[in-house]
Amino acid sequence: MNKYIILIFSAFLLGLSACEQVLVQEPQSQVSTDIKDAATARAVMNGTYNGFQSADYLGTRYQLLPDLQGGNLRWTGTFSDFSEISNRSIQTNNASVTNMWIRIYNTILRTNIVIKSTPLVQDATFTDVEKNQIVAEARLMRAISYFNLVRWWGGVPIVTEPTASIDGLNVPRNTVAEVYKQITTDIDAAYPNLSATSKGRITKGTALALKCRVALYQKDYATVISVANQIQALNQYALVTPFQSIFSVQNTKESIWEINFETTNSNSLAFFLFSSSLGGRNEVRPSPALTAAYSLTDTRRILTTSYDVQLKYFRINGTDFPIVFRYAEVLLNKAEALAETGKDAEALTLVNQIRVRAGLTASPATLVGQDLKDEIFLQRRLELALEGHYFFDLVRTGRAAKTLTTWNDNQALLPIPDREIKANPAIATQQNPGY
Amino acid sequence: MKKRLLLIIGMLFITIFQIIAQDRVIMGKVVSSEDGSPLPGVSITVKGSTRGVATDASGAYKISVPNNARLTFSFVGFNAQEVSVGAKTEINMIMKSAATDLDEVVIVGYGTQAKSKATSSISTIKSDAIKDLPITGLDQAMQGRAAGVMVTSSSGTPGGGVNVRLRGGSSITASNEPLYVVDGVPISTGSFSQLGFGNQTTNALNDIPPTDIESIDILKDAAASAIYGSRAANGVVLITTKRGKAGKTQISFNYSAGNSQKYNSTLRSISGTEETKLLQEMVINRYGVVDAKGGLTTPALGTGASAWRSPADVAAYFFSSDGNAYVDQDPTTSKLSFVNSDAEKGRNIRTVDVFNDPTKANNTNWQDQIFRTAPIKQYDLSARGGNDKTTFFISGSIFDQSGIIVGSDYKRYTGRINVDNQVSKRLKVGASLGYTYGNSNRINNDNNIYGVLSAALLMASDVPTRFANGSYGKDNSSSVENPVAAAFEPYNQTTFGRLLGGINAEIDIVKGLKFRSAWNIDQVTFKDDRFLPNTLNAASGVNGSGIATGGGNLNLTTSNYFTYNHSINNIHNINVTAGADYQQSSYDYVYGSATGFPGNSIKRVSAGATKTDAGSDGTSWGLVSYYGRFGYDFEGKYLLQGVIRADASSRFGKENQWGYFPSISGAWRVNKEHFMDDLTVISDLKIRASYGVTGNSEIPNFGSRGLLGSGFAYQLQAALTPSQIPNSNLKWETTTTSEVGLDLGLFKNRITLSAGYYSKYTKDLLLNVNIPATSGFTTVLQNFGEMENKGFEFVISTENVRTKNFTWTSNFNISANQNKVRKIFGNPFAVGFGSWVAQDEALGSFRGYKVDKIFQTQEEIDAANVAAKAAGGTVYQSALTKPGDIKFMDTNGDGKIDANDQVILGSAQPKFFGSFTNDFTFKGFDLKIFMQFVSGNKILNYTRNFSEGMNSVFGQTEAVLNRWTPTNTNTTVPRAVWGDPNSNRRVSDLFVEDGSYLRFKNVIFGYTLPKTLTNKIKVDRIRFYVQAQNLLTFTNYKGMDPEVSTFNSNNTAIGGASNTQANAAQGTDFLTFPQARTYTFGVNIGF
Repeated sequence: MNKYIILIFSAFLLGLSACEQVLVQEPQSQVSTDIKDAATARAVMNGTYNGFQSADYLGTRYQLLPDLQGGNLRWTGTFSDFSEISNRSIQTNNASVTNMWIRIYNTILRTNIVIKSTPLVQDATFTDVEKNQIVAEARLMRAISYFNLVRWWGGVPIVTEPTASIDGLNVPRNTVAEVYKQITTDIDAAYPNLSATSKGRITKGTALALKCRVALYQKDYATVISVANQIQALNQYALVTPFQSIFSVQNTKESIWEINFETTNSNSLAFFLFSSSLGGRNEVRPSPALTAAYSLTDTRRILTTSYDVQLKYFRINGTDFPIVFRYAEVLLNKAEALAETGKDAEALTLVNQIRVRAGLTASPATLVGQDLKDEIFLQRRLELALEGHYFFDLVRTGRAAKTLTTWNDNQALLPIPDREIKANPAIATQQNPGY
Repeated sequence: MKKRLLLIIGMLFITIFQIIAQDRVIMGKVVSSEDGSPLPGVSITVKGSTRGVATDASGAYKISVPNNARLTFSFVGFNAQEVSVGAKTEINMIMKSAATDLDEVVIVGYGTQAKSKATSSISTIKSDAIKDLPITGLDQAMQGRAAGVMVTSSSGTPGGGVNVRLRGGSSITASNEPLYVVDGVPISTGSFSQLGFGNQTTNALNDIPPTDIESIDILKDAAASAIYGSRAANGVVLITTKRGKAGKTQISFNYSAGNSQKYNSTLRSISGTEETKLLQEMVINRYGVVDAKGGLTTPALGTGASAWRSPADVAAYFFSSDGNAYVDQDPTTSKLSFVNSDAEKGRNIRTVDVFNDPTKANNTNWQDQIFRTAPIKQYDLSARGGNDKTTFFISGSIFDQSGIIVGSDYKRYTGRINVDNQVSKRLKVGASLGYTYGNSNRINNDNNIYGVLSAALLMASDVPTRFANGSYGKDNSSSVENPVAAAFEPYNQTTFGRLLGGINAEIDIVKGLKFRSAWNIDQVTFKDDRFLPNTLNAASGVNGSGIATGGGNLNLTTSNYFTYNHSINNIHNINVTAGADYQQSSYDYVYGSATGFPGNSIKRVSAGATKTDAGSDGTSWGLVSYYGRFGYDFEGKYLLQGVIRADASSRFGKENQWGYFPSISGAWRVNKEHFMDDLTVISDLKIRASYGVTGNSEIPNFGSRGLLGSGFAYQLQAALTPSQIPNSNLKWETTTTSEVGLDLGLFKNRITLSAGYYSKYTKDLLLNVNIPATSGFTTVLQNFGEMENKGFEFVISTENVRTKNFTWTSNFNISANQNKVRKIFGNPFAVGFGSWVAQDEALGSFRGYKVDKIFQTQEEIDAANVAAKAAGGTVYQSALTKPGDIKFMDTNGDGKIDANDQVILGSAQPKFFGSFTNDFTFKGFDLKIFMQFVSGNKILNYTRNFSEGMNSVFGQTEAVLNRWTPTNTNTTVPRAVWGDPNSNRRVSDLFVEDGSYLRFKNVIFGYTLPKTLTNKIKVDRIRFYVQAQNLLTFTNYKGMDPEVSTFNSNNTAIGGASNTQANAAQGTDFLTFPQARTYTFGVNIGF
């Protein structure tokens, strides 16, 4: 009898020791949200750059959607949300629109975490200079994200604190002016602490290029010109030749900020553009209208004619570096601002730099007034096709109505995603008009 | 043995000499009631003395007894019997196996119960009901065989996933699969493979071969299942494997082989010629204005109007896959023409010539090339035997099935050994060990442009299988893979293994009190290898791509419990069970991928020049449980049972570490009352009721914590990103079930009938509650929702004819379950392609537009637009609506069609389902006809959304031949138009179909050779049979198979989102591998 009791007891003892262990389980590839050291803080910073890399954001859709909306691209694939965007009859549940909204705000959350928690990290190896630079990069990334929100959706809710609990999440829409104010505040706060050069990362040049573009969208031509002058004065950037080398060689002298990718961390740009036999999914391709817009001697024409061979994005393994800001855009911004303020001769010089680099002859000095503005616009379209500009340029210059078929002004803004309208009572009645 | 016998005989002699001369010798033989075989080792004792002997190998015995003695015959697994010796000198005994006792035994958690005394709802499936079937797993075996259990194979993929729902799903985001317990071990289920194939998951339940199963007991109500606490809300399936039986060793060999085929010809693709005509029509309808001279102007294309030589030129411009083609302009007419390259002209794909004369198009039948007649083979061999001390069961099996789509197959090898030993009078030990090894090749399907069936349907038939140069035909206007390449080129192998076993000991402490301790292991291992050669679209750009993964799941459990049975004068009977379980489960995997291979002959990742990814990760959970069950009955007439379980899980939030799950049930056996004595017609009548609480703890392992996720990088520097908001209140879902039931037996149980009504209410449903994305997160997991399931179950079994030569028995069951989501967070939400989760609607509801009619004239459209403008809109549907487009119903009457006009179009949940089985035997012949039916459910046939979409270059099916044209106006199929600007193919009642079906699931016809014949070759039994699975299907469903579920929850590795899709978007069919019709021929041999 005793031996059985010993057996029973030993079974229970074994069981009890198991009891203590089995309830203690820890995640193996995640960590808690408290940031305690410099290495973790740097990793969280890298996470904000990673936020931009999503295919829903700068990793594909940022480049393709404005050109699909504007007609530089035509839809040839299977995604019905792309079809809606190309027809500009966008449903409020459009997947690309919804995912982009989500992704941009997720990136903003990442910047908010960095901005709030980096200064609090107590780590002897973590200098104030590095902390300030990290915070500055995050602030500029937040500015870029709000700029993308405001040009696609108008006045959006502004969130500048990291989300720690599920309370107080219902934020109403701010006005367009408030969003621009937030953007400008972030740019100006970030600028002094940014580094001068750092490939693939936010630098002083990025801050200025953003400021220049933001000013152009606000028709603040004086600022456009002064900031462009500031960039030119850096003597850091230049137009490179041939045109194709901007993309075939990465991080060139023309590039102000381009997002880096590797085979282990790739984007879908070439995949979306390439035909299936070359490993792509043939979702979109340059439209006949874009082809027709290039003259035969334009070296940029290759983008549309030699399809599949030398697009701006042609690395089917997903390692193209999408360019967010480059020097040519700064020159075109400045040219436009000069033309708008009546300084046609100066504007022409700049636009001719772009033309000549593309293998075209310089336009004559007789090109003035509206014709000059049209030429600047045309060069902007041809130069920056598939880089996330065309639709916005059509809208902000008032050309959309003339250029696009079945246009109505409500199409200028995307719908606030249906899920957001439903999840956030504070914006329930604040949908953009027409949706 | 002989020595022992001698010893016993010696002792006997000593005894004999000590006894007075009145003793005499009794002789006899003991046989089994089952088959009359002699039973060795039966113990025969003289009651009230220490005298005893055992039977020898031939079942014979000899014992010396005093006058007026009584002999007790006892043997493990048989009922003990007593006889009075009287004046007899020879006593032959037939021992009755305990299992064949009239009072059946059901397996309950942590023990067994007499069926007659059960107060809960338990369905039992015996091994006989599931033999001879060409099935891979026990989940398929349960289909139609138990009331209230809805089983749906998600596809025809061999070894693929199966959805099992006991009395409807009770969860939205967590798994709705029941808990499976094999020989007392809660096992890991689902798909462990790391590779995605559309929704072609693997299924770990297949690791237990149905041929090893003795019985399946399904605990349905809370009274039965509450003993499994926080994991029992979806019911519990208890599987008992075959164990040894004392007696002569029985060898059993079964073999079957046959073929599977596609069983119908729905969704036939149109020819290349038809496709060509269709494409041209699509472009003209969208952009074209045909002029008098046969030319065409395209005002809506691009920015300016272009004049073309002919419609064929525009069509070629749109759809040509010709990289060297160009547009030419005639200098005099300035009309555009499209000029194909010579190479392309030879390929005949969408050149101007072909559009001008569509008969020149290629006509490829893709489906014919990917479907096949596929062989299936099964072997199993087992031995079962033992003596009164030790019994064993040993088996081995091979299952080998090819899928009816090229590239898919499943092979499995299993072995099992179950041994039990009575160590001493008080101690019994046992061990079970099952090992499974196998591999399967799966193919992509479902929502996947690289899928085989998906491509065969979506690739247009005017693309040739191969071009003249031998390379695969491709359509550069389409992203879809060549179906033949998709079927033949990829290498996708999953290798799986499983060790499922345990050891246990049971001690009789004092009379009635037992202690049992069991220690178990359930180890799943898997390895996936994928290689995509550069001949495939997916890998042509990167020169081949390979992935290798490996890993496994280790699940350790221990169970220690006491049971106590006591009867006071056979009036008050009590039984008590109390114990503790501990379980820990950990999942680990490694992963690597590469591109840039040196040709296509080396498939391993090592050969790839660029290693694109590598990973190693794991996760785990633990569960501590205490439980008790108390049963009381008064004379077996009034029965009462109470159960409680307490579970603590590592998954639960800090604030809710422990959950308690009680249940109570009672029954009244009316036939035991004296007033029933005269009603001899009623042989059994029991009324039962139960109430209890169970839980569902299938929540993410670390779902309650706020975490930063790893595995990200920027510029090759590690990155961390926020992954979830904390919720320390996170806990299990709670389901409260009440049930009333009635069990009735008539005419000595020749007719048995069971009816039950239940009501299940689930609260604290885990929901990914939508929060504003401005927070950076889109959802947070909260216990929020509520859901209700109500229904009835009815089973009737009859022995219609019982004569010596002819028997006929029938079994009919029918179940109805009504499901309603009662509370969700915020607004209703969409899942899958057209499914909708909304309060007071069934889970699995479809939502979409209703078709009003087809616009026949521009006037009708204009009138609708005018009305829309008057109501404050701009247009009724779209500015590009034309005659032939669908007019959708303005259900909310606001004058325009928008998302708010969508309504519920039905639900995937059936109104009722069940089966009807008839078994006949006539002399040596046997026939089983098993029919299964589902009624009142809807299927979203999303395949048709593409194959009848007429909006792009996708292959189209024959329905489009009846499309609207100005000359074919009496139709329900809209016009063909490129890009579908009216969105005719939006989810509408056009694609939501009735999914009801009646199916002759299995018909088995067998013949057993007469014993006189088989005995001559020393074989007990030889039976031949033919079997047909899915022999006939009656349905109005237009897809390939009405038993379909594109979304499958069994993905253990992915979890979360796939659960929600499987639960809420059930009944979706999108390019899914259909079930096959399978004929097999088999033989059973026993000796």
